[in-house]
Amino acid sequence: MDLTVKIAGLTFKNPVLLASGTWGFGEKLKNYLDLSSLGGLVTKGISLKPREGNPPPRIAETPCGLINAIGLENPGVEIFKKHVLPPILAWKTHVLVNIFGETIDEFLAVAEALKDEPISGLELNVSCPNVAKGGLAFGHDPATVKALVEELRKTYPGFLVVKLPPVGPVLEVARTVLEAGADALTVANTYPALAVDLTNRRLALGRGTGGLSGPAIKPLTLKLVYDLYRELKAPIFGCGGITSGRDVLEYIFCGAKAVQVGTATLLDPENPGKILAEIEQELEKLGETRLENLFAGLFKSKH
Amino acid sequence: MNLFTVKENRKLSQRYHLLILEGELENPLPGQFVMVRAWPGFDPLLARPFSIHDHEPDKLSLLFEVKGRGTKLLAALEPGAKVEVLGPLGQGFPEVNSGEVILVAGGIGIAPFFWTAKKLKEKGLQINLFYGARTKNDFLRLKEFEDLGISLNLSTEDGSLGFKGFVTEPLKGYLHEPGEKIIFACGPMPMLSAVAKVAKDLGVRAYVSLEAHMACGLGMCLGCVVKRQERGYLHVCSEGPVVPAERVF
Ligand SMILES: Cc1cc2nc3c(=O)[nH]c(=O)nc-3n(C[C@H](O)[C@H](O)[C@H](O)COP(=O)(O)OP(=O)(O)OC[C@H]3O[C@@H](n4cnc5c(N)ncnc54)[C@H](O)[C@@H]3O)c2cc1C
Ligand SMILES: Cc1cc2nc3c(=O)[nH]c(=O)nc-3n(C[C@H](O)[C@H](O)[C@H](O)COP(=O)(O)O)c2cc1C
Ligand code: FES
Repeated sequence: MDLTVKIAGLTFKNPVLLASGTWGFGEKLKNYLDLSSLGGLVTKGISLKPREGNPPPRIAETPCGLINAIGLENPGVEIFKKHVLPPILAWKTHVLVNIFGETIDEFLAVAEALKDEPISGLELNVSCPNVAKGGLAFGHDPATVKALVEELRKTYPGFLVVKLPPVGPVLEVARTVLEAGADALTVANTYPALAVDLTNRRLALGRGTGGLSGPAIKPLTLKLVYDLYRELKAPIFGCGGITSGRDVLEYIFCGAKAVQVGTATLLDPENPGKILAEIEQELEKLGETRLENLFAGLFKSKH
Repeated sequence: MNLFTVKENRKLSQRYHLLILEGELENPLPGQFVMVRAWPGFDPLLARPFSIHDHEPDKLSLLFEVKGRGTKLLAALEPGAKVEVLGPLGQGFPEVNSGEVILVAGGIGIAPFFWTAKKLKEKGLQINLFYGARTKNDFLRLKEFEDLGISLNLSTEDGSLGFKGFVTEPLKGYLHEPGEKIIFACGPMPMLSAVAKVAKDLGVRAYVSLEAHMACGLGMCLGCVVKRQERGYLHVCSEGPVVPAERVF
């Protein structure tokens, strides 16, 4: 069975990547799953300086969904480079480092710090607040996100993915970042969400609001992938609520080249491996031998 | 996740159950926990964390309080039902080879102490359990603890059994007596905080077992934090649930 996927010069052995922030740095996951068997690994978001993250509670459960407000806790790029990245790079698969900043300069500095590392590429998390714009997320502001990608492109020639927030002027932002030189899009991050703790008469999360992930968001993100592929025909990593091989094929059928699995890994560390195995079974059921044959099938059929 | 089978689901009282599962847990340690899911599909989405209450080869017991949707579903399990279990997880209680171990439990915080006491007893250590509950009807597994042959010091908030008041009062009195001691505590945060203070004032080493909302139990989501004493946060599932008291209080 041929599961390989080519995106902007990179060949992925299969379409299943692990999404940012949902697999630690592999320290424990490696006991349940051969990380080298995956199409790729997208690291937890890394910033210039270490970040403590938000006060607890950081997670709340909703029907088929998880709301998180982790607050981008991470060790900062220097410790990441020295202690965290080397063992991740030992896995024989693509490693994309997810980075973020509160200013364009901070994004650039993180990318600069990583420029000599043998990683496969960078994923920009533009869902974080932009200090210069009073906290408006980069990804909600086409002009700023354009400037960010253009600036980065002056010094960073490697594989560059922009991970979009699922709300806001998504299509305009997507078009802008591609014009500015991004190779691909990750569609999408979590949905802004709220949980209330009535018993204690307050919000359930320490930070107040959070981001919704998990099976609850799958139909929403699937539609985003469909819309963006239809309009842009650009390479897309579909990411939202994937828990089965069938989900992966649905995303690919709607125009995703590959996918990222997030919350499913938290539910059971064996899930990414199961999802990978199911892809082959599902393809077989559909009478296909190549994943590529399903790609964007929705736009090829008569309906 | 590994599949376990329900052997017995014993209702101990209106709110408490003892769930006995058959299945193999690899090298568990007292104070460690497991993540449990016993329903199909994604609602509830997350597995639930529970302490190892008792363990024998091929047998795992959980002692739980019915709180919300997940524990309600666990309470309804019939013998023969399948349960997904991930674990053993986290850091358990430290190894102790001499002196006296003082266990301090509040409410359902008693859960990890049955197997802990059993293992410590096997080593021939002296064990003293300080156990606080709301009323005399809220004590769990008292007979089993008595049968272990350990010292029991009970207290209730309403005075219906044992000392009337918080468990830290009789504890404080006892800690004044001489001898090498170490404290293991599990219960609500205010109790842990009070135990930590008493222990610190009297120079006794103390370890506390913490609780936090968890998604993965494996250090992957960074969701299960408790504020550290110095700066930043501690991840309960990977650095805990058992930590030296001074790390938090
Ligand atoms: C390490 C550890 C060991 C534990 N051991 C035991 C035990 O041995 N016996 C026992 O009765 N309880 C134990 N608990 C608490 C137990 O996990 C919760 O009572 C249980 O998750 C509640 O689930 P629910 O679906 O009934 O409640 P709901 O309120 O419906 O749960 C909603 C969400 O909040 C989480 N949650 C709610 N209360 C707690 C809590 N107190 N701690 C952590 N997460 C919570 C749930 O896991 C779930 O994700 C332990 C918790 C931890 C962290
Ligand atoms: C606990 C948690 C932490 C996350 N951390 C990050 C992060 O650091 N950077 C980022 O770009 N996305 C982060 N995400 C978003 C996921 O990578 C993913 O986009 C999202 O959860 C949707 O996919 P899913 O439904 O498969 O989980 C996080 C999600 C969760 C649940
Ligand atoms: S529960 Fe996910 S890191 Fe602790």
